[in-house]
Amino acid sequence: MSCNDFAHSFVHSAKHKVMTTMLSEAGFATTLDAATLAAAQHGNSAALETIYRSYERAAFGLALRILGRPAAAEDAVHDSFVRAFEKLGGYRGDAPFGLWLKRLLVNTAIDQLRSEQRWMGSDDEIDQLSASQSRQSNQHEALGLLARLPERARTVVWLHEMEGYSHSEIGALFKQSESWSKSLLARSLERLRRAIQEESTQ
Amino acid sequence: MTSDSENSIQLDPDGGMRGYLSGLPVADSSAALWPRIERTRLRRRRRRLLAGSGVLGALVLLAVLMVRVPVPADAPALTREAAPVIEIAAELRDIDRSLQAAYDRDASPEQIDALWQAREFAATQINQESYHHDAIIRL
Repeated sequence: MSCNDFAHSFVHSAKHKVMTTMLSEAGFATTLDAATLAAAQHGNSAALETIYRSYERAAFGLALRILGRPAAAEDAVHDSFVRAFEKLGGYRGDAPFGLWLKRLLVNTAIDQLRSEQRWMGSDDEIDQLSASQSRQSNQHEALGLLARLPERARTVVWLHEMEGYSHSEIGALFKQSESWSKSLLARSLERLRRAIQEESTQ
Repeated sequence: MTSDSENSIQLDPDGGMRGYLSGLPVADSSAALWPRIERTRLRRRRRRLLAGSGVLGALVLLAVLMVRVPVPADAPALTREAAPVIEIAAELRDIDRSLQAAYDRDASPEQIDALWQAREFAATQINQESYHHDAIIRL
């Protein structure tokens, strides 16, 4: 089969694949079939779009929970997919594709936060919880109570509780120790629990 | 923030928050994000191709000039005949720079097409000059 035949047959089946992967709603756990990956590695636009459609919702949700603002989250998703597509030739399947993409996105989003200096590295971040309530009106509702946490605390909570990151991985991402991650998570969760209880008693 | 989602907040039986976090509304990015990614990808690919072709062209030109310079008997003629080639090569480099700048500022397809046409014309000229030059050397 020539390269053109391969691309032609791929385009015909791409629409169906997009629909099935979208319906699965498996987020970053969505598996990528070998044909799609091979076509994407040859630069086939339909295959690249299939990959994007398969992971776009998970990617945007994660970026939003880290960055807190939809526009910034879109920038991170944009940069991550562009980088992923450029590095696709070097992807050998050692890790599941979704996991590989997720790590790329997390690194991009945290770099973005760091470049915007949206945290000052203070250990008193959790004390800002009540003061940060006034920021809620600018936040996306998908953040829920997380919107009340400072950026770094929110990211640690989400990565550990929902994305399966270990404390050592989180510490490395933030250039901090494992115990720093444990402490920040425990304090953040405690403050969120108290906020929930306060909400329910009001 | 909607109060509905917060009023129904419940902790996990173990006091955790995974149940709450996994129940947060799903967020969707804008429909314009994919076209934006695709535009960036194509622009960066063209830029890499352009940079690659520019380097290759310069190397080929350098190789052609270096091969022809050491022929002592034809040296004066070569100098005279190489002049147009060098001028066109400089013009090609200018066009390449203009193309690079056009891609950087997202110029219109018409502007980019015009630059590519100018580049093709210059490339054809440099090929013809090289052929003419070869003919002189053969004579």
